Amino acid sequence: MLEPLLPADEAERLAALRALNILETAPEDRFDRITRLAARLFDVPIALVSLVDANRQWFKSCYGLSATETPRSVSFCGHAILSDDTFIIPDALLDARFADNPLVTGAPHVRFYAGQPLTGMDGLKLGTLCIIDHKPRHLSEQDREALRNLAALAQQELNLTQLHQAWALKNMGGTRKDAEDEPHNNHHLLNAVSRAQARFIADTDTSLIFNELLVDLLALTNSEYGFIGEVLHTADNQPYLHTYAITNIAWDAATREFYEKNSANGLEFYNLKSLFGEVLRTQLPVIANSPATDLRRGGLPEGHPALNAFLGAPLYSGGHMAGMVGIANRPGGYNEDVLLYLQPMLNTCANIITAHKNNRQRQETEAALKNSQQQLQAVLDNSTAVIYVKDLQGRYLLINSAYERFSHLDRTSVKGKTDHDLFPKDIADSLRANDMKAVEGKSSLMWEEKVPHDDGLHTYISVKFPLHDASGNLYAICGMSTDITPRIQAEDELRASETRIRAVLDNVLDGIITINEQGTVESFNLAAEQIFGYVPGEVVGKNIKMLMPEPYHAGHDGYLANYMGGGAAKVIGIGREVTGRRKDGSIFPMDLAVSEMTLGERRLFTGIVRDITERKKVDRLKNEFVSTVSHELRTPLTSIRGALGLIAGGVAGEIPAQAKSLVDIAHNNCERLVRLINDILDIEKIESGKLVFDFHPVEIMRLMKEALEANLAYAEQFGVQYTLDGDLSGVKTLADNDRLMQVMANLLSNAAKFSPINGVVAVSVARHGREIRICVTDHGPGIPEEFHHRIFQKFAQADASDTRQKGGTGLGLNISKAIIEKHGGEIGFETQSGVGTTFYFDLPEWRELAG
Amino acid sequence: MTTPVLNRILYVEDEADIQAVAQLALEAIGGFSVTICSSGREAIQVAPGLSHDLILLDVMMPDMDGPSTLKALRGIAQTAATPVIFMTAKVQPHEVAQYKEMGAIAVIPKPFDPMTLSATVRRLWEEAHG
Repeated sequence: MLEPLLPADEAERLAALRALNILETAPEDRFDRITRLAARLFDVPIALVSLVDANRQWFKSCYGLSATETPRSVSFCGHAILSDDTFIIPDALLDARFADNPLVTGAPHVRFYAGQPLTGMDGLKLGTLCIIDHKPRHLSEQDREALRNLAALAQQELNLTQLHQAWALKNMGGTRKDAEDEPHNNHHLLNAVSRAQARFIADTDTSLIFNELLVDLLALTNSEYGFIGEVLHTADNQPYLHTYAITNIAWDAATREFYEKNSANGLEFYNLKSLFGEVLRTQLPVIANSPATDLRRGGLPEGHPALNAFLGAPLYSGGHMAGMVGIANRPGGYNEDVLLYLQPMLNTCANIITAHKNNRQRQETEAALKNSQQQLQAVLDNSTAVIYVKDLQGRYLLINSAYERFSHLDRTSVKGKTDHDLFPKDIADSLRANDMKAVEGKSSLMWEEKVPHDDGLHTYISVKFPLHDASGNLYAICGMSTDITPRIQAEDELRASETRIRAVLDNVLDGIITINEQGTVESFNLAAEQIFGYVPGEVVGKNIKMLMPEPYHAGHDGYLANYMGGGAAKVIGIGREVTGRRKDGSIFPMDLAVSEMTLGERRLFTGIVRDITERKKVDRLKNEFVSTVSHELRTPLTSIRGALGLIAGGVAGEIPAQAKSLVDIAHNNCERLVRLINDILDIEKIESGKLVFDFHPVEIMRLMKEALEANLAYAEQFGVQYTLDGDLSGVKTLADNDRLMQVMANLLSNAAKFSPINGVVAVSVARHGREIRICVTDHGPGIPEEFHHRIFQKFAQADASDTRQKGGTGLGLNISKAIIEKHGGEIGFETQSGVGTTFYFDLPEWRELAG
Repeated sequence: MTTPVLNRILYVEDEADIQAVAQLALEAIGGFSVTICSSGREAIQVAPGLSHDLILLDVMMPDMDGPSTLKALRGIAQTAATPVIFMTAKVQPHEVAQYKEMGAIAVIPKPFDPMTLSATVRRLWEEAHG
């Protein structure tokens, strides 16, 4: 236990205390009121006004305690008077100075103590207003302020005692009248002070308190008008006056309006060259009983009520000038006595102004704090991250909206809870472990953490760091957690989708290859590896030309560069048959379809490759089969046709007319069968590339004449005439004579078949641009539009029934088209329903080289 | 130079039906005297003993085909200079050129028209000697 030390001014202190003549006096309500109020206000069992005497502390007022004094050596108050501000012991058992104090270990079992020193008028600390509890407590700043205010009231009462005595002493030699008046006046003064204190304690509106105070001041001094105000300072530290109460002395409309508008919020006066300004400047009382001639005066505005006498008194509180009071026109003027007499009132004014000022500053601070808290909360609540602060025991101090959203808990219900209250134990354990690591670490640390949501565990990235208070003590952990579950899910889905696509790519039978603009292979699927005979990884990253035989191998770089530079596409966007080269060097036919795609800034090409070696083999076998079958068919046909021909020709003798007509039918159909087989063989040759052409310069007009002659007999069957138009004798084309005759035979026979009886089929030869165009025009029914697109296809006939009627094979135009294309020409038609049809083909002109 | 008379023809053909039709066409319409052989081997045996003006030779025959038969006939003194016409379904230009290179004077495509066969043979004979 530590006994209280003696203050340096102990002797003066004791003298001042003794001078008060208050020790051993009876309890007084004016003090008991204050201790009662304190006990109630702070909810403590004990409240005391304690005066510290030489060897003891004596209680002028004791609430909740039967003792009236204790030894100074064990007193808390003995310590409290050594301090300038509130002396607080939150828990005496934890404080070495008091843990073994008999007042702590025994009755009254002090655990908590807070004492505010009470100062005499000369600034000496005489005792305390203290509150005591049996359990440990904290005193908030607001509580402390309340305690200071109450102590100020107790101090005032103490000083009032002193004043009364001074007043009494002073007036011992005064006039009888004064002596008679004195108790009366004193009574008024004390009443006024008590009223103001009562109002202040009752927390009445400040302006009402000051107005009443002003009224009392004027009444007590018999003054006409006045003011009470606080001293404030301008930015350049000049004092100015802010009134809390001012007598309405408005003398005209303008001043009346000004007063009404501003008095409630306080008027402000800045003129320091004035009687009240003198008080502000010097911080000393000013008494001016001839203001009109006083050198300190500032002059009055016109219309201002007469100023006959003035008293300006500074209001001191805690050694600082808190405000001033100004009163005017006391009959007979003012003097020091009046000032002294008013001192209790002035102290009350000073205390209330200070309390008001403190109150205002606290409110401002609280507002600022609240503002910054709101700002902080707004920032936190608008963050998408989950943010929280926990104390060192893991209890939540604060959470943001994102936390409320995912947990479906509101912040008030989370506050004070720990993760173990909110989450399953294993999860809470791991969160807590990370919190503790953050506490141990000096800077922020980061973890992945799992937290349960409605739809299962979510994964968070959490940053956690320790929080320190203003004095650097660790007091909390702050965490910010971002839900990365959607990102993880997206990544998982992407991975799954990649796996799926890879599975598809690896299971298709077609090779799929991606290359970039330089021809470098970027992807090469399983089928491609099998087709080209490579093992995984051998092709990716290499140039695509490794898969091509010469001459494509050498030409591909140039081709790709040309295409990228805007050149024409040979493969891209077009499917075609090309030759591929396997790893073992063997070459094989393949179908290749290339498409182009854009990936960001890059252009990529995707090739789909199919090995068609087998298909080619099957095609060849099929063609060979058709060829063989057709050939084998011709042998019996030769016999049948020959035999029928001989019978029909009468070589075997005359036969009856009916038999003749039947033989003719058989003979005609036999001819048709022969043509069909010939056409099928032609097609097979065209498709297998075996149709060989024997090109020579051919004179076109001559060839046309021959063609017309050769087909004349056929036209006659239909009663149709052929005409030849054009004058291009000598003009030649490079052609296979027999094949061109075959084309003309086809076109002429078609035209004849579809012409009306006695119709004319006109053949014309003319230049068409740089080529020679041969037209065969009939006046038949025209070709139905739905048939246009497939007229050059195999077995294409507008009407299946026509086959029999018209006796064609359906292969003629297909063969003709192939033949004309082999000649480097083009075949086409124009037709109009009911008017006729023109088939034409264009052939390049052949010219003999000069020399 | 006058064209020699065409009268005796040796026809080599493995199909009996075609033999019959061709023989009828050549004899009844053309008035030729026709000897039939059913295979190349038979022709090689028969031809040297008989004197023919012209030999008509089928191309596709089992065992010994037309070209082989022609080669063999050219190796026999009595038939080394006898004109030969192939009768075949294989009449693409390059095939025709091949046959002519072998020494054939012409090619008659099958199936032939029996009514015009004699005339065609006679024309080709005349062209060859023209």
